[in-house]
Amino acid sequence: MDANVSIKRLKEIQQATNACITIFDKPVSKKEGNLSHWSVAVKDNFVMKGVLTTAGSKILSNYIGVYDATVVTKLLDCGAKIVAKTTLDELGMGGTGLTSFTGPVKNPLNLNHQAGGSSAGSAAVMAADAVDIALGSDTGDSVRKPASFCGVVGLKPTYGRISRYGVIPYASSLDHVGYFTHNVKDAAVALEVMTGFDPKDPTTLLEHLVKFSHLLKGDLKDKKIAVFQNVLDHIDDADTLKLFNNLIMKLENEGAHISFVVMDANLLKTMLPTYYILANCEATANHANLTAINFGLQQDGEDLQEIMVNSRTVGFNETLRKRFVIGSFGLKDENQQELFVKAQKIRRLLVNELQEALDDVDVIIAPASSSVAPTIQEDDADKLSSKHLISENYMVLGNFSGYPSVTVPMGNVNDLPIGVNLTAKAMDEATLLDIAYGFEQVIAYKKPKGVV
Amino acid sequence: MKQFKKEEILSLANELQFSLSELEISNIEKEFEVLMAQLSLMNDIDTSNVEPMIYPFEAPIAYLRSDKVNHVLSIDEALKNAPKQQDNFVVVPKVVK
Repeated sequence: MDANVSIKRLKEIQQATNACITIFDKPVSKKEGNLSHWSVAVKDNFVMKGVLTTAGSKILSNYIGVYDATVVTKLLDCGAKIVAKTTLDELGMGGTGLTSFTGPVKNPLNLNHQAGGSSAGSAAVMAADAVDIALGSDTGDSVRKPASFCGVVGLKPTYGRISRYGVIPYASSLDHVGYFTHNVKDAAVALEVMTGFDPKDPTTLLEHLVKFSHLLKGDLKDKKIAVFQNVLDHIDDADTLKLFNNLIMKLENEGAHISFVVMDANLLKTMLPTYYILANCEATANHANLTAINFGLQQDGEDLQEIMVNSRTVGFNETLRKRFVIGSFGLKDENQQELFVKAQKIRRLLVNELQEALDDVDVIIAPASSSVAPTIQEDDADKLSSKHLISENYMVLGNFSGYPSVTVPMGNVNDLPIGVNLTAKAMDEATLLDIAYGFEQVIAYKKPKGVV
Repeated sequence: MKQFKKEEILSLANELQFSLSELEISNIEKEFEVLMAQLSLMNDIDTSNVEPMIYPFEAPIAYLRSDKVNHVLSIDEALKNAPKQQDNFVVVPKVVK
């Protein structure tokens, strides 16, 4: 879409949704290319030279990037026009979109509801049809869950597929660059552009991605699709189950082979605590550099330590400080084996289970969320229920394993979307997106009109 | 099950270089109860003879680049976000008093 139209639309929805931290007056562009027709929004944890980059945190609320993230460079080199930096949960550490220092993000399809998080603003600007593609990052499900809540495609490719150079980290062994598009074909085109080994990010894959966007057929005949039964077992929302069962029927009509996979339920219940420990321990270490001495919003103090303490107390919200305390607790010598290392071991067992489940099939699927987007106020989850521990948070398996995983819209309930998530074997984005393309054809999704 | 006392929370916050209010401490204590109940699920899993998984893939991804200086920020860029600076240094209050 025209970048100036995009900017106008972003400004129009900003007051109601708070989707952006920065909206550019003029699109940022470098040259013309095959993506010249694309307007791009960038999550505000991607660094851009000369541009405010806050990661949704007060401590970085005055930070101006001094270089471009690799993925930003790649998009600009292909002609894309960057129009905004979007709102996120502080430092990406949240799943609601409510914790940025600039205030909560509201879902443009219904302002009483969340857009999801942490890539909340990116999902919201897509839901409002304000851009063609929005960059996000995905450490637990931070692209794939908001995609479900906002009725758009959300892809997290294989770990290492896209460079993370210039992305403010959360938990390095789980962080992925991901993004939102309006359709699967755009997701495939974007992946071809953004992928590739980057000497500035030694975790990027050396393997080349074969160009495949023009090969997407979407033919589901004889595709082997496994339903993640444990996830379905704990979803109690009849509308979600109805949409999903309808989808299965359609897939069977198309000639897909449907099977059902059941993993070790006790092991699956440890997904969320394992994630919580790994993510918070890694985050605690990653964010030790946010001292407001070399950069960041500095508070007054008599000496160096007082400056740091005051800056970090004011600079991080309560939730973050709580998570850092828990992360630090998990890393203490006396707890490390029992918590951090134990979590790393369970991570391996969980990935082994997923690998086994994918052995004989092309993808494994389940609803991307157990129901539509929660309201802005909602936080009534029973934190020890299987629904919470398994059905609501199973997509962390994609981060533990690094396997590619995509959410595509599955349908609407009361004018709010809900998505289906597909996960494939490592490096196999071609199969993942081909099947997702097939899903898109049989679902023929129509996004609700929205209220802004 | 591990305990999480107020003194320990304060000591961790001190190491982490931030303060917590009384209310925040009490919220952490409450959250910790839930977390400990969740973490106890991990104790039910037998992880003997399991190697910790540090990164998603076992394939070696480390490489050696040639030993040439590349990709450096200029002094101006490096200091661009420093709250206080003078003569190419970041300025902090006197440390040795």
